[in-house]
Amino acid sequence: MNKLFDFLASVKLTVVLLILIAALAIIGTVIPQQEPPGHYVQMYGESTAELFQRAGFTNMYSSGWFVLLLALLGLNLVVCSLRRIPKTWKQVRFRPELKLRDYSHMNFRQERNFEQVPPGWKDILQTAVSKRFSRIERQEFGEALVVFGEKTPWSRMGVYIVHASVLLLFIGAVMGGLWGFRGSVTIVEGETVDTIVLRGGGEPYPLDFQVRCDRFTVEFYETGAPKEFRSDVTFLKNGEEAARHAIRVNHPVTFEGITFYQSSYGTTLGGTAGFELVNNRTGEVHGLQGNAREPFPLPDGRGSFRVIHFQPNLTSGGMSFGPGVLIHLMGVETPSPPFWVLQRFPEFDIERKGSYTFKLTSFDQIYYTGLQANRDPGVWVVYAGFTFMLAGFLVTFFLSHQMLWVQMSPSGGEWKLIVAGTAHRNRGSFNHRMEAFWSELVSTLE
Amino acid sequence: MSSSWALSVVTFVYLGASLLYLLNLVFRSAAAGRLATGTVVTACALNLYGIILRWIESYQMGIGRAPLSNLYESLVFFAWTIILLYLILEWRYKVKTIGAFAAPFAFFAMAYASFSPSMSSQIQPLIPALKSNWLIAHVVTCFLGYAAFTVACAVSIMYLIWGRKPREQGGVAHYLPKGVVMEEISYKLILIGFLFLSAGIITGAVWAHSAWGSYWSWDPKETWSLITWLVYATLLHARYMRGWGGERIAVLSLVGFASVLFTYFGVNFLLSGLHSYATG
Repeated sequence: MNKLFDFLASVKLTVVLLILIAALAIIGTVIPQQEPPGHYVQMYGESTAELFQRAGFTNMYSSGWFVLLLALLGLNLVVCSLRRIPKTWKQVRFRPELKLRDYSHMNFRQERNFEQVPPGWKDILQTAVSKRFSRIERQEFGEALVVFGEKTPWSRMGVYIVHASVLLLFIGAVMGGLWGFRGSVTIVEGETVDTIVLRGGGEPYPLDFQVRCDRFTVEFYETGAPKEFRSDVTFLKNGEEAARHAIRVNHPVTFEGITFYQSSYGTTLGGTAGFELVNNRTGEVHGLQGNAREPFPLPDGRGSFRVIHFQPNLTSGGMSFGPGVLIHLMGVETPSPPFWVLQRFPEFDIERKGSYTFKLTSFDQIYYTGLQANRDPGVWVVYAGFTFMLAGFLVTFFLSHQMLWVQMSPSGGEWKLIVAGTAHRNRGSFNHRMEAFWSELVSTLE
Repeated sequence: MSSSWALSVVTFVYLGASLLYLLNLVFRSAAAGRLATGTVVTACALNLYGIILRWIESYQMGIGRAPLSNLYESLVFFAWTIILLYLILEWRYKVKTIGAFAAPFAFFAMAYASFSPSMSSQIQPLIPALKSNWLIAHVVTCFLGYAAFTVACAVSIMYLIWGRKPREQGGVAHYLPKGVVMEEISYKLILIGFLFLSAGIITGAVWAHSAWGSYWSWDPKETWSLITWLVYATLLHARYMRGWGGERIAVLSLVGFASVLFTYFGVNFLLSGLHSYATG
């Protein structure tokens, strides 16, 4: 049991885990992620593709391996920190006993003898130390004096702030995974929705409110590059307008805990569409005009048709055919599968040999907007983790627990001054500063 | 003088400075050292001038945006941050010899920006995804991190060549900082790099959350920046807790720098993802 604990607390394990996580992450960037299975067979061949799928390499970052390594890293972090914190805390709280010493093993040490010292030397020493250190202790031993200064002992805890921040990232991510979702919704201009589609499929997710897209606008630069995508939306609660917002890229909008992001757009058929139907038996030509999103009755009164899909530019086999609509016939005697009608190639529909030949004569286009709709209750925990991490780094990298002793004692008719100190980190720069302190102090005393 | 012209001049000045630093190192010529410092300070100022001029030009074109949004601009900024960090180092430690290894990195970055045939130095307007206040914070922190790792790599190379050689009078090693000083310099640079890389990843995550609704998507650029972070995290743990030093830390610093290069360039050209606008 103790051995297991030692293993879980070891920095060796940390280093091994960091390297393994990096290695798996690399594999995840080299092998394309979450592609359809056929794609992998094409790329790597049957057996390798199967191996990759089984090993979880095709969905690396959700695979058992990866999650296990992250969980182990989290555990390692907790066990290792819990084990070290009491010891570190002792060092933070430690008050060294003041006495006359030689300080021979200190990281920084200077000494010098003075034939005489100026009056008020005790206060000079204390003032000098208190200028650079926040906590001062002073004790006299007969004629001798020791002044002790200490600075930022708590900086020893900085590393645990960093470790806690990593845990916060893990906790926030798990919260997002458990209680959050990612979805998307497309809304045609003027229409209202009350469900979204969750990533990973399944039933549409019902919202407690409705979203209406009032207008979608896209602006372009003169170069043709997009400048701005913007959806003006209204949120409705029980059919009543509750809020109006503009959703733009980089400017999401949150309503009742769900955040909407501008993610795509497109055009679809809207307004009025016009068709010309040629009766293939009689040769009679019928013109039809109507709401593009509603069914059109057939001229003979037997059945109707509607547009179930629209392509602003239908492409097939590398060829592009211009605007096309997919027509679905309803209530006719001889049902047929949906068929494409192309505005620029009206003769195309003759080949179908239906009772009518369809021509698309006019149509209007309107925009639809594609929004992402996410809920992530863990995001604030993650952001707290970010803040703690940066704060922890500043403390750990740039502060250190610094201690300094200044001791003046009579020695063989002279006065002996010793200045000695140590820092638990960044000793080079500590020594550098203390050298300056030393020469300043000596010149004051001379 | 247009910004791209000024910046191609900078390229040659960096080349000149690199050669002068090399002369200073090989012939132990103090005069070459002083001239090198003068040259590199000039180049640094001219580099900054080019960046500011480009910023002004974008306003004159009616686009008005920080010059930090494509590969060309990032290389120009990268070169400047390398030199800025190097100059601080030269001033703090009073050593010029590191310049022979650090200045060439700035030259390579500028040469790539100025002479690669596929590089577009045109000022293009920002696409909607890049129009964010996070752009400047993200790019500046990332490149300060990259630059610190680059100079750390330069020092690590020097350490691997001369760091443990006897410092004989008259030899090159004698003219360099002591091995322990080189270790300290590269370690401090790695700390600064790690801090800024973390800040860069964090600002990127916050930005991604407002642009795409997710603070982390395992996009190749994100993943590689995390891999780089893991390499340097490993280095810091090995040094702090297992007492690694010298050659082993220098080698890890080179591995980390290779990961930086892959994050910066390799991902753009070999892997596809959300950062596609950084390719040209």
